[in-house]
Amino acid sequence: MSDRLDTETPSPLGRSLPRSRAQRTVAGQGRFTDDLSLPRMVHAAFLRSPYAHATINGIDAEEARAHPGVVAVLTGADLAERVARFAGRHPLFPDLQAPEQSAMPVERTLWQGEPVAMVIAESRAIAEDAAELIMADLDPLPAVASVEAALAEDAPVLHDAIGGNVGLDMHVGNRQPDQPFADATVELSAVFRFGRHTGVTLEPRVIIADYRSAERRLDVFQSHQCPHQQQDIYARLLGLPEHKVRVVCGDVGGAFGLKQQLYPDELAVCAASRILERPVKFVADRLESFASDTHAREHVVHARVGAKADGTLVGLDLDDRFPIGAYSQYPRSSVGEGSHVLRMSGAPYRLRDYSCRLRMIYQNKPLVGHYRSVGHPIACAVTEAMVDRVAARLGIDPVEIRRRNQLKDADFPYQSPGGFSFRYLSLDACLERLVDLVSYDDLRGEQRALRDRGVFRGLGLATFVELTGTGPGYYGADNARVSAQDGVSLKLEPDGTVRCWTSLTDQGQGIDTGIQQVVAHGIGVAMDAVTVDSGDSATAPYGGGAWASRGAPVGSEAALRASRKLKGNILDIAAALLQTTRDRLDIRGAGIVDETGATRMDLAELATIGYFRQELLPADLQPNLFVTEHFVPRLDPFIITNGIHFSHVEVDAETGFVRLLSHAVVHDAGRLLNPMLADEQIRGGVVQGLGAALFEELIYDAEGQLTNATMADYLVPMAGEMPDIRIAHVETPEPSTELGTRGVGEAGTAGSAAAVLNAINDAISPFGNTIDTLPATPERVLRALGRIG
Amino acid sequence: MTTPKTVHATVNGERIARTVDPRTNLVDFLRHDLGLTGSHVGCEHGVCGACTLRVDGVVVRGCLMLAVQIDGCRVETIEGVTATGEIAALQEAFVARNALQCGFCTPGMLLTAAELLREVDKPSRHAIREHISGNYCRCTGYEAIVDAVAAASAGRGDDER
Amino acid sequence: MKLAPVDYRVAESVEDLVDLLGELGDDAAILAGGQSLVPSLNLRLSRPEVLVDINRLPDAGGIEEMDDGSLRLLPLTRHRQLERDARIAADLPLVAKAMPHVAHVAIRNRGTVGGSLALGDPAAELPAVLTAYDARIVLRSRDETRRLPIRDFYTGLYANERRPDEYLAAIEVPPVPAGERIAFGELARRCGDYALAGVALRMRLDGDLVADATLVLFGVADRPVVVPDAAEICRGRSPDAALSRDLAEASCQGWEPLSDPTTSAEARLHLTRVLVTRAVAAVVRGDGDASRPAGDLLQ
Repeated sequence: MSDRLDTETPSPLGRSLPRSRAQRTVAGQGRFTDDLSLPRMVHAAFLRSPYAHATINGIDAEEARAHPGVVAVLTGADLAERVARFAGRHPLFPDLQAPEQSAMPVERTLWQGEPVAMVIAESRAIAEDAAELIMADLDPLPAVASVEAALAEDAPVLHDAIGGNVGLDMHVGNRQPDQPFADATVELSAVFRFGRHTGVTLEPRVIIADYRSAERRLDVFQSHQCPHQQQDIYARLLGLPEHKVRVVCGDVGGAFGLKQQLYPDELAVCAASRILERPVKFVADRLESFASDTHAREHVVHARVGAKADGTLVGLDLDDRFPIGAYSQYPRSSVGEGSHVLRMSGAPYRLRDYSCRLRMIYQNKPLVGHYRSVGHPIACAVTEAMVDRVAARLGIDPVEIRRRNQLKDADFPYQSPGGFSFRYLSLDACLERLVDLVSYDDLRGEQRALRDRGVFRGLGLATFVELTGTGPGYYGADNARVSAQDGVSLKLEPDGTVRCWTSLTDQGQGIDTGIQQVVAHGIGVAMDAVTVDSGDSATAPYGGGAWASRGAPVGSEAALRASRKLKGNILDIAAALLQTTRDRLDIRGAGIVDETGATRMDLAELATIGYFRQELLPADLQPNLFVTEHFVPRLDPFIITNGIHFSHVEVDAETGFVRLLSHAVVHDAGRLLNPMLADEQIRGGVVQGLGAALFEELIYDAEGQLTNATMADYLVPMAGEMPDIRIAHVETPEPSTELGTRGVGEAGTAGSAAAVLNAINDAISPFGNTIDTLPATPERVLRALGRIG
Repeated sequence: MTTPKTVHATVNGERIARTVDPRTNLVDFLRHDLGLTGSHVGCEHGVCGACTLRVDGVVVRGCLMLAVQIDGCRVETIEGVTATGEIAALQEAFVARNALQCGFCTPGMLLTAAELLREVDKPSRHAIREHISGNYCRCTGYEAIVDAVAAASAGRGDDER
Repeated sequence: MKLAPVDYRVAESVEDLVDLLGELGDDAAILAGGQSLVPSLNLRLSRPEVLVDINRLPDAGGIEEMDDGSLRLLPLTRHRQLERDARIAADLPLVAKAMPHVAHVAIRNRGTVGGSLALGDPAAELPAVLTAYDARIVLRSRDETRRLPIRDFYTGLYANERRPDEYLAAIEVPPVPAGERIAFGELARRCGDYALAGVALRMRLDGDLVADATLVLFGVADRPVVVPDAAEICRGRSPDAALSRDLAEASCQGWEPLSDPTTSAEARLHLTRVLVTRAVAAVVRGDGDASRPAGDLLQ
C-alpha cells in the first residue's frame, strides 16, 4: 500500500498534540468507576486479618448479619464452592512453586490485611459498622517478615508443600556464583537493600460487579488495565461461559501495573454479586490500598564486581534475594521483578563474566507483582552503583568508565551473558548527548569549588536497557491467558468521521491520542475527525490492554494497518464512483482528492453512498467500511530500549537531607508518535523513581505488621521537593514495526532511583562511606556520614 | 440512633436542601447525593488533595468537612467553576501542556491553583510548587502542572484587558 | 474509612457550648476546623457520641488587643488569617514565620488556633511558638473560667489540662519587648509535613551581647520542650560558635526524644543540636530563618 500522495497537509504523526481525553477530565467530567451507580447497588467492606499469619478457627457473623442495612456477610467458606482456586505459575519458569489461593481463605490467613470476611450493606459506612461486629476467632502463628527471617534454618514455613520459603531458586550467566574474577585488579562487594513500596494510585481500586440473573451474565465495571484478561479470569474462576462476562474499564485514575492482575477481594465481589443477584460495589479505601495493593521493589542484592586497573569491567556477580508476599500473584506470577534483575543487570556493558542468582522468597506480607518498570530499577541501581564504585576506586570519572565499558555500535548484534540478544542499543549516543545536555564538566568543576565551602553536591549517572513490548512466548502457555497482540477496529461513520476501537487501554498515558494520530495519518483525515474508544471487553478488539509499555509499539502498528485497510476500501469505492483507479486518488482532510489535489468528493458523501445508496455502486462492489487489524511483534521476544539518567543533588551533611537540584534523561524510544506525551510519561516515571530514592518505604515490623499505612506516614513525592526534568531523545527506528516506535512509559522509572543513589554517594564521598539502602532517608544518610551511630 | 439534619446551601450557584446523616462527609455528599462526581476521594485523611473544593470562597478538603456543616454556605466544585468559565484559561493551559494524565487529581489541583492565581499576580515556579505541595499527583511528576499554572498566570493579564 | 455513627449539635453561643460540654463531658468532641479531628473520626480512632460544632459561635475568631498590650487570639481564628495578619507579623514574628509551615493552604483555610492548641500535636508549630511567647490558655466551663500558663498546659503526648467540660476560649500573649530578635526553623521531609525537629528562639541583645533568650523545641518530644537554662547560658555572652555549642548541648538534656521506624531518638537529638546552632546563626544574620546552614557565620 503506497504512502499518501498528499504531502501538503501536515501529518499529525510526531507532533506534540494534546490529548482528547483531557477535555473531559479537566472539566471534572471524567467517568471513573466510583462515579457510576446502578439500581439496587449495594456496597462491600472487608474484615481484614489483623495478623500476618494465623489459623482461622471460625468466623461468627451473626450479629453483623442482623445489623440494620446489612444484606449479607460472606466468608471464605461461603465462597469455596463457588469460586475456583488459582495459582500464580509462569510458563517460562516451570520450577516456580506457586501454591493455590482462594478468593478468601478458609483455614489460614497469611498476610496482614488479607480479607477474611465480606460485609455487603446498603452503604459502605454501614458495612464498616457491621464488620466491627464480626467475631473472627484467629490464632496467631509465627510470622516471617524479612529475608533473613524467611531464609533462617528454623524459619516458620508458609507453604508446607514447598518445604521452605524459597519459591524459586535459579541462576543465569556464564559461570557459577562466587567464583573469583580472573585478571581483576579490583574486586568490590556491596549489599544493596531496596525498600518495599507500592504504587499509591490516587484513584484506589474500584469494582462494580453486576450479575444479571435472567441472562446469567456478569457485567463488571472496574478500574483496571486489562479488560480481556479479567473477562477470562472471572469467567473461568466463577464457572461462567467467557462470552457471558463483560469487563468495562472507564477512566482509570492511575494504574502503573497495580491494576493489572487479579485481586482476591475483587473476585470475591464478583462472587457476591452472583450470589445476591444485584450490583455490588467495592472501593478500596486508602488504608486498604496500602495494605493490599500490589507491592514491589523489596530486594536484598549481594553484588560483586571485578575490573582491571585500566577500568575495564571484567565481571558482575549478583545474588538477588527477592522476598515477595504470601502467594505468587495471579495470573502473571510474582517472578517478574526477579527475572528482570537476572537478565538485565549489567546489560549495558561488555562483561566477560556474569552470574546472577535469584531466590524468590515467600513471606507473610501482601502480594508482590508488577509496578512500573518491573525489576529494571533494581537491576539498574545495583549495576550502576557498582560501576561507579569501580570508577571511584580507580580514580576514573563515571562518564569515562562508561565510555570505556558500554557496548559500542561495533559490538552489535550482541548476546549478553544474561541471555538476551541485543540487536542494537544507542548507548554511546545517549551518553554523549547527556554529557552535553547537563554540562557535566561544568558541574564537576562547580562541585569541587563548593566542597571547599562545605557544600556537598553530587552527580549521578545511570544507564539502563529496558525490555518493552513483550511479544508472544512470554505468557500464553500453561493457561496464562495474557494476550501479547493488540487490535484496532475502524469504522467510517455516515458523516465521514472515523470511530476507532482499540484493545489498548489508556490510564492517562495518552495512548488513545497516539492511536488517534496514527489513524488520522494512515487514512488522511484530520485529528478531530477520529474518535477513539477503548476499555470495553465486549466491543474492543481482543488484546492485552496496558502492560510492558506496549501501546506505542504494538498498538500503533495495528492502527496503521487498519488505517491502510480502511483507506483502501474507501478508495475502492471512490475509484468506482469517480471512474478512475485508486492509485490516482488520496484522502485529504474531509475529502477524496485526485492527483492534481482537487477535491472530487467529500468523505461524508462517500460514506452516505456506502451506507444508504449502494445502488450507485457497481454490482460486484460490497462496501466494507468497518475493518479490524491485529498486530503482534514477531521479530524479537521484546522490544528493547535504552537510555541514561542524570541526577544532581545536594546533601546537607549536617541534617542528612538530600535536595534534588535537577534531573535529566536521554532516551531512545525510536520514532516518537507524540514527543510531548512521551516526555510527560518519562517525567512521571522519573518522579516515581525519585520517590523510591528518597521517600517511599512500607515499613513492616518483625510480626509482619505494617507500621506506616497512611498518606502521612508513607511518603510520596509532592511538588515541593521535585526538580524540573530535562529530556532529550535519540531516535533509532525500531526494526520490528513500520512505524519504528518503542515503549516509553516505564523508562523514567527504570533509572531515576539509580541515578540519585549514585549522586548521593558522589556527594558524600569525602566522608569515606557509602549508602547502600534506598530510600536514602535522613537517618540513613546521617549514619553513612558518621554523624550518628 | 443519630439524628439526620437538613442543610440548606448554595452549590454551584444552585440552592439545595437535603437531609443528611451527620457522619456523611462533604465530598461523599456532593458526589453521591448531588451527583457532582468531579470532586474525587483519594485518602479520607486530608493529605492527598483529590477532594479539594471551595466553601465560602476558599479551598478546603472535602473529606474533612461534614455535609451538615455547609448549612448556609456557598459551595463550589469543579463543575461550577467550569460552567462559569472562571478557570477556563487554567484549564486550557493544562490541556495544552498535558498537565494532567489520568485526571484524578486535576479538579483539586485546578481549584488550588486558581486560589494562588487569584492572590498572587505572577507567582514564581518555586511559589507555585509550594502552593500545590498539598496536592498529590502520581502521573505527571508536577513539572507540566507548574508550567501550565505559570503559563496561565502569564497569559491572564491579556485576557482581562 | 467512613465515620462511625455520631450525633451533631451546633453551639450557637458560648453559654450554649459550655452547657452542652457540662452535660456531655467526654462523650462530646468539639468540632472547630476539623483538620485533625475529622481524619481521626474517618479512621475510627476517635468515636465521640456527639460532635459539637463551634463554627457558628459569634465573635469567636479574630485577634484583639488587650488593655495591657497583650494580644488575645480567639480560638476560631483560622490559620490563614494568622498567616496574613499584619499585627501578628509585627508583634509575634515567630507565629508569622511558623504559619507557612503548617500543612497546606486547604488545611490552613479551615484549621484554627484553638484547635491546634487543644490538640497539642508534638510536631505542631503553634503550640511551640506560643510556648516561646509565654502565652496563657483561657479555659471556660459552665462554672468557671481559668487561666493557665501554656508551659503548664501540656502534660504528655496529646494530653493537656483541658477538662472534657471546658472550652479553650482564648489564648493571651503578653506583650513582646521591643527590639527582640527571633529565629524559627524546622526540618520536615516534605513541605508541610510534620517536623522531625523544630526550634523557636527569641533573643534580646544588649549591644553585641545577649541579654535574654527563650528556646523552645518541637517535633522531638511528646510536647514542646522549653530549654530551661537557655537564658542563663546566653546572658552576657556573644552569640558565637561557643555559645551555640553550649546552647545546643543544653537543649538535649532532660527530655525523652521521640523515636519512630524512620527516625531514631539519636537522630532527633542530633537534629536538635543542628537546628539550635542554625537558630543562633539566623539571629546573628538577622533573617530569622533557622533552616539555613550556619556556614561560617558563627566564629
